[in-house]
Amino acid sequence: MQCSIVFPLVTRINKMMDYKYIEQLIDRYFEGETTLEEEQILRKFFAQEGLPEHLQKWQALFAAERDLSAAHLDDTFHERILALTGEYHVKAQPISLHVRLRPLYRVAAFLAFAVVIGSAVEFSTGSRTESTQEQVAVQEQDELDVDEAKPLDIRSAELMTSDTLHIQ
Amino acid sequence: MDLRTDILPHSDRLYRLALSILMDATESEDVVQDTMLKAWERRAEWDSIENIQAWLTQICKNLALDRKKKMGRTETMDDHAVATITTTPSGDTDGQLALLHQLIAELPPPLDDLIRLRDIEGYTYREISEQLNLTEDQVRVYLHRARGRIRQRYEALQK
Repeated sequence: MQCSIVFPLVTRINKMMDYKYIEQLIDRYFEGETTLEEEQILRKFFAQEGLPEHLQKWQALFAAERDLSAAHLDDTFHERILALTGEYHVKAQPISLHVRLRPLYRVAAFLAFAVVIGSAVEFSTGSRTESTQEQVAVQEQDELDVDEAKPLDIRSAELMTSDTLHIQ
Repeated sequence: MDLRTDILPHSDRLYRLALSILMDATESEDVVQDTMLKAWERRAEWDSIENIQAWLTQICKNLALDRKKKMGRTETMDDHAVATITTTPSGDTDGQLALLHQLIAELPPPLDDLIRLRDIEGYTYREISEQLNLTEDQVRVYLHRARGRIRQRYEALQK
């Protein structure tokens, strides 16, 4: 209950102190004694709604100062002036060596790739040919070895049989 | 000196100067454009100019005043200004501008420029003294005088 009475009272006193401060600032402003910061405080203060009547009369003046301070040209103005004076050109950007050599990097990478693929294909084909030849040689050698490994009596028997068959 | 870095950055400030004289956004933009083109034509002089900002301000102000004469606007806009003070001020931007325009227009030189530099551009006393070739003490005295006149005129408009 007490809070509901005290808080609005404190707020009101604070506001009255604020208004007193603003009144002093207004007087000092017209005397030419305010700092730039204090002048900003005045403009911000008078941007509010619901000011007391005795201060409202200054609202139009400070609101006008604030509005005019914020006025600016549109973003395309500079470009238009540059175009009209013939100064509209894109400034040359310095290109680094790395950027300049970038196309060459691509060519080099492609060539390296081609060389690797070519080598791989060549190696693959060459090794296959060699291995076939080796396989043939090994097979022939195996056959010879098998022949040589047979016992003498079997070989004689074979020869005899073939002779016998030949005679018949 | 370069157009991009030394001349064009002054455009917005010149626009506000023109706006405070002409009260018309389109006309003010044209004046700033003419100022820039005139400055470009005279680019051979740039390096010999001591204060390029003051030089541009002078060109812009002269062009704005010439245009104002051509537009045939009179200084007496009491009705509009009074209406601005007595109606809801924050909702009427054109009216507020008209009011400020009138209050500044009624000041003699260099008080008008001083109010523009201080209250619209937010310059320090030192910067204003450099712009207007005055001492800082003179700036304080003139500012006191200029604001005193504004208060007097403003209160008279209310009555």
